[in-house]
Amino acid sequence: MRSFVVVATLLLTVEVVAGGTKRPAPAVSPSPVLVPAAPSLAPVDPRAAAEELLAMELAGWRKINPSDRCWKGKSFRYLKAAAFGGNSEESGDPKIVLAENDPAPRILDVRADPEDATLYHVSFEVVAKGRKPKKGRLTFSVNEVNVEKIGRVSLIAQPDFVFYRKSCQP
Amino acid sequence: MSFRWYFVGFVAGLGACSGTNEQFRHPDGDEEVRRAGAIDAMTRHPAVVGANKIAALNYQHCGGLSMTLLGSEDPSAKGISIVGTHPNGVGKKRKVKTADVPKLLASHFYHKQYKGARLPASCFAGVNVDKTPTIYDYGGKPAFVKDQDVLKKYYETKKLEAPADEFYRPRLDFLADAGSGVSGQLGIDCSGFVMSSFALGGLRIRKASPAGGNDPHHALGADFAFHATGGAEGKALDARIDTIDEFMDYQLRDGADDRLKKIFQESSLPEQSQSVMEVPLHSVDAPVESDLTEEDVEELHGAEAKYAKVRAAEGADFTDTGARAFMTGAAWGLTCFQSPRFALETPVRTGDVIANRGHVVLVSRAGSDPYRMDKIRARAQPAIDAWRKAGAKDRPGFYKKMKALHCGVGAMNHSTWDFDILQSSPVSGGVGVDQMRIGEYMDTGAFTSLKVFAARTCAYQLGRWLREGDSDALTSWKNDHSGSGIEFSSRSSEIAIQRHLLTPDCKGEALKAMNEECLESCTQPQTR
Repeated sequence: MRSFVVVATLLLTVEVVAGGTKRPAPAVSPSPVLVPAAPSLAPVDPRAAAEELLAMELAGWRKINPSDRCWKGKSFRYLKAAAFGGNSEESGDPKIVLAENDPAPRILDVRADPEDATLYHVSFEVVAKGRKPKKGRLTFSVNEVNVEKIGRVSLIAQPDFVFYRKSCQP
Repeated sequence: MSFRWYFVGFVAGLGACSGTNEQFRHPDGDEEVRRAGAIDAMTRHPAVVGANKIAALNYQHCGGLSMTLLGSEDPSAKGISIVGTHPNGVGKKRKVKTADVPKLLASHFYHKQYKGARLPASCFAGVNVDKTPTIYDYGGKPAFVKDQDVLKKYYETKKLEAPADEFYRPRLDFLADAGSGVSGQLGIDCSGFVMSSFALGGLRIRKASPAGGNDPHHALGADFAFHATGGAEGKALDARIDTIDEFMDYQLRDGADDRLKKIFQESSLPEQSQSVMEVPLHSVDAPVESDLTEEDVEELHGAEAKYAKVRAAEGADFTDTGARAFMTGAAWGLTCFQSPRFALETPVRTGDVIANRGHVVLVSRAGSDPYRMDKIRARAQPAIDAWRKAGAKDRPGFYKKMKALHCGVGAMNHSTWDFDILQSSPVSGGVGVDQMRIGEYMDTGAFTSLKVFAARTCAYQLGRWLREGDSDALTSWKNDHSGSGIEFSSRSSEIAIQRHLLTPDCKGEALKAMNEECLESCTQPQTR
């Protein structure tokens, strides 16, 4: 139930932000993706996985000194919610941080890697009141092993900037 | 151009940041792999020797020379307080309060093994980590001891033979409060650990230049010290900056003087580029803005904003070159390193460095099949056999199908990977110096991008498996680099593996550590 709330909240955010703009044609089949080498695992909806990743971005999981307040107690369908990289001090040092004016992400495209069916490339934009949208991208893998420990989905290539709700600061 | 920037940039930018017989134990008990790993470790890469020495000094215990492996689910250390954020806005400031020392010693994965059985404090000029325990100290570096009077006294106290040229080589002190970490807290961070490991191993980061060279009066050469070379500019720096700590402080100051700033900026320019391509991770043609704009700066806040403004004012990637220096290797002046190329070289070896944007580790042991391709092959072999039995038709089509089935990034099982890392990291509650199996470290969610390299290795090996027994096909395929991934290096926008060249121009006089003589009583091998 909780996971539903989290995802639903994010979807709402995405839809509101997207209001009035033309959504690009989906690059991903609307049907769930079958991951070939993992017949026992439930299929992953790549767009929903991308939304969970963006939800965690909003919760500040890649922020330096993250607070787990914004994801603690919530469960996700695909992600193991924790500070990215196990510890924010090891996750890098993004130059650009957007936290003012309630930044909100909008998925532009989710595309399967042409060479690797377990990889997905996501392009998105973040809008915040009073500033132009900022485009970003990320890549995630659909994990077929170690799922209990690391989750069904892992962020493989990070967005090169960070955005989060200011209320999610420690 | 001087190296000084590269080292210091590395140290500052990272700022932050894991054998016994058990070390050689493979989780699957695979004897062949276990043996290969042991043999590899026995070659004793100089940087690993240096890292082991640092670990033993850090814990004042011979066990540091062959550390047990920390697991991702081992209980976290208790008694470490977060007392703030580093001035650069990135790392946490950690402190063990006096009252919490017993709690820490009882819970810290390594201290609890070593407490009460340390090497004698008298050998460490009275420093006793049972009283002032070492932990992960973001910004913490070894003290750089170069004062001739101090060193001469040290030699006399230790009853060491004075150097023939009467110049006492600088030493690193790992049990001194140095760097820009928490005042009064002992410990070093990831970059301090890895860089020091190479220095103690006598390995340069940048190739020796004719000017800098191996002058023993600059024992750290052009690599480790910012005191070594550079004529007038170098002297200017010497006059201003005597320690790593001072240099760190300098970097973080807003009002750095323009002349020095110019020196750093000039020396931070990429010296060369590597011709081998990095692995592409993004295939979406989305425009990405990566420059810091005025609007972005205005959106920042707190320490991040202040720090970002400083960086913006500096112009170049002034303070965040650290891990990126290792990620890009030679392009950032680390000319003694090169990323191994897929298929042409063993993908991971003992002594390799793995770095992402915020962390760097040293590979302390690697088996001959680090990504465990043997396991993937075992799964793939029945289908390969059936394909051969049916006439081995349409190899490209079969390859594509098999690659999709077995070589996806998401199918890479890091739990089976056969290499270990030594690092100083905030894992397990902030332990600091530790050793972990790579899979255990990745279970914390770190270094996930390594799976891309494993997948690429898998794709290459699969091509080889399908050509086994067909020598013509194998030969022509090996000579045809196109499409095989052979031309890619183990470097991507997210993570890089860097391998020291170990060539003569990348070796120098090994730096010594203060009190390393205390380790002579240890029975484990500590040198090659």
